[in-house]
Amino acid sequence: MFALTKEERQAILFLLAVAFIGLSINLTVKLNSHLEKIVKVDVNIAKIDINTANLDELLRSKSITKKLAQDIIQYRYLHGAFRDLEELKEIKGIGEKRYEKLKEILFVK
Amino acid sequence: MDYPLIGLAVSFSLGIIVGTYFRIPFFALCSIAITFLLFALASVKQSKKFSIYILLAVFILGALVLKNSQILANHHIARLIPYKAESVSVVGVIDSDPIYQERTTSFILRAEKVGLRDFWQKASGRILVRVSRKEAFSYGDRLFLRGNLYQPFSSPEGFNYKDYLRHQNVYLILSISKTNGSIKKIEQNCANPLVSFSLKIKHRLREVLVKNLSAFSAGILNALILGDRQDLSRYLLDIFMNLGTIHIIAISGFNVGIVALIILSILKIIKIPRRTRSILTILLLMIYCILTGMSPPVVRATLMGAIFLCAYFFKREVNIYNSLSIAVLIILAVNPWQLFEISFQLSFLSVFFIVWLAPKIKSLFPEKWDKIPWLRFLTLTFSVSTAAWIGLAPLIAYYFKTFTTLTVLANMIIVPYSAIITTTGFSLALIGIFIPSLAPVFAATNELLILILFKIHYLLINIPGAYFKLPEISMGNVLLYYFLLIAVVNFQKIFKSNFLLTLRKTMLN
Repeated sequence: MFALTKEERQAILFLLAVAFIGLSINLTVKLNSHLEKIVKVDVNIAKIDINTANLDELLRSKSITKKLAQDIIQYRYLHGAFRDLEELKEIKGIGEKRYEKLKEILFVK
Repeated sequence: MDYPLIGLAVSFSLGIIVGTYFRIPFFALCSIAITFLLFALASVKQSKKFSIYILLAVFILGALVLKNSQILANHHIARLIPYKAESVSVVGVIDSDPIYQERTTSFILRAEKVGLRDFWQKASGRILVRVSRKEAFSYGDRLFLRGNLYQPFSSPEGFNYKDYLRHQNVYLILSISKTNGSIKKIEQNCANPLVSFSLKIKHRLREVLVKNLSAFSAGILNALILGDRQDLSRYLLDIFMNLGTIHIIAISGFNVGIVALIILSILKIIKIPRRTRSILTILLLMIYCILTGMSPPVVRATLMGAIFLCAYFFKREVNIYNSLSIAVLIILAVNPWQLFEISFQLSFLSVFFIVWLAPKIKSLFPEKWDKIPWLRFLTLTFSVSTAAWIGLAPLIAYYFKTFTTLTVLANMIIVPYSAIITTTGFSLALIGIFIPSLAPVFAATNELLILILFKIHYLLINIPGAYFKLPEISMGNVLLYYFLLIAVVNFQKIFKSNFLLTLRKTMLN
């Protein structure tokens, strides 16, 4: 029916597959809004949860030194979970500039 | 000699290294180079002698090119203002795509005139401009600026910002603060029209991605297909770095290869003749190279791609070692300082080790596996990932103090997977330009694929022992590793060589 070359068939198949998957996702989310959490990217996806992260997880970021990671864990032990990321400034050695950097890496749920 | 250009590239690079450490006068180097060239001319009929003299001449040429780049023109801005000056006026043209961060705008400016205490003089050279507010500027704008000019700071340990800028021929920073300084646009479109055109395409593609995707996914696709890493989160970069998969978000040969494949396929589908297809692909690759910022890995990949397409055009066979060497020679001839850049070293070494080691690793598997498509795919990805890992591990340990145990496995999964994301990303960008109403459908697929990419990384990085932090290692150890690696891989060749046979005979006697 269609006089297409192999490359043309592959390209059409690829584009249709991408469109089909996209349509299915859009439709699924429309019908079941609670599924949005699974298929859509969370704002904090590439950040570390400051209240649940252990030492190794905190050290995974180059911007967090061993001393800072230990201080964060100690703060959690002494004061309980962080309610706001601003509480980081209460840790010795964290000024405005360092806080701005850490804001990009850490988050409070 | 099977690969004559490898010798030339190595000689040229060694010449640059020697030129960095020894202060030999320019004219002395010129005289030595001319002497070697004359010797080469005299021994043109003796192949061995001729090769040696040419290699020596190219070695001196490397040192000369470096020396030439160290000597600044009389009216170079860094000579007019050698250390620092306050309230300097500069007129110049923007020479890069401006970067906008939270509260600053920065770009490279090609200086044309400098004014100090109302005395104006002609100037040349590039400076980095930092404006502490968001201002909309474009490549090619001619500006009048007033601010504080100073040399970048250098640090003896870790990342040396001064050297990094110097390697891009930038010697000074002009800082324009809110209170102290001014900036005014005089004219537009005063620079290279091809670069302006390429950057316009980039901005259009970026716009489509930002409009249709979440900030996280747009950041990844911007890095993956446009070479912009400014929107990527630091933590994500650390994960990629620790797993040894950071190369997928730096535009490299891998990305250029996919782009070339997409362009060639589209041109083939719309029935463009074979030869025209090659020329058009080279032109479009050049535009892609410019729009992604012309970093060494992209220039390397574009040059190699262009050499392959030219060979295809002229129906000639091409040798990958020679094309790699041509790319080394061209990049270093334009800017010899690139030799000391990490991206240059990683890019060329990874290609070299993949080309050299991957076939050797693949030959360890039974030949009959090649007949089964999925086994062939597995052995191929394993060989390529292992070759790159063996080749780059010491350099990564030296620069980043990290040793990744999961690199091979991670790359076997991530590399083919990110090829799919790159292709779907391009589909979204192009559909977004030509049929914007269809973009959300393509965007949904991209979001899901990127989410899965992150989940795979997260899963792998959580495996205990996925990577180790290392203490500092010396360059001597890195070189020793490479020496031993070459010796081990070529063990049979060295063992069977005349040199060892003679040595053995001598020892037995």
